[in-house]
Amino acid sequence: MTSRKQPQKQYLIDTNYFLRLLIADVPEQFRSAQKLFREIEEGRAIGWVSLLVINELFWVLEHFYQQKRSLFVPQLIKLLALKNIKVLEVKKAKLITVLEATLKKKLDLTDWYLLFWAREEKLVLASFDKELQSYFKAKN
Amino acid sequence: MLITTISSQNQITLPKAILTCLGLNSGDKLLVRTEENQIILESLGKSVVDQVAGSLKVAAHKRGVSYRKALKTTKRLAVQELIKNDL
Repeated sequence: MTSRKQPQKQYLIDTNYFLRLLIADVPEQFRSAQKLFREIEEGRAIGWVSLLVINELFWVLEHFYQQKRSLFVPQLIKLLALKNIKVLEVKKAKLITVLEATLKKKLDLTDWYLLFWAREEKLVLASFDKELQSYFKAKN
Repeated sequence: MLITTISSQNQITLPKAILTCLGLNSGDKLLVRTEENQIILESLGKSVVDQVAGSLKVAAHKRGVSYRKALKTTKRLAVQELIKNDL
């Protein structure tokens, strides 16, 4: 009898799954999150992630948990770099580029995302934020 | 320092001496990234998930706080920051 490959389960991952995996503070949720991400890592499942989830996670880790970007961004990038993690709205490599940029200067993830696309699509950035504008002008 | 060549399949062979020196073995995962025109290979061991799991240390009084509460507090702190920065 020939073995047929099982169809991969597909999950849409919420912010709290990333959070509980990274901080491991609620044992039951940590175990569930670890199990899911292991399934994804081992190629038994596909995990879909939204930009909104990544943005929310960024805010919660930085503002509520007072985590330094230099600590949490590399860990987040490693998870996103898993082959079976897919991003809903953009190419994953672009999101990783934006996340790496957040390590350079303390602009928000949203600001870096706007700067990235303004540069990528050669758009003029319309914003009242002077710091963001100065960064945009310096880079163009 | 040793030189390796990129194959027609975009593959490279890592020199054994370097793998031995860093304690890397077959099956280990490497994170590949670029940094100022350099390719950086970072060892992730056998499992990325096991490496990142529980890797962030948070204050004791914040451990176990419900996600809803954490998010609500985050939003309040974000508004305060926007006001402080006059945005």
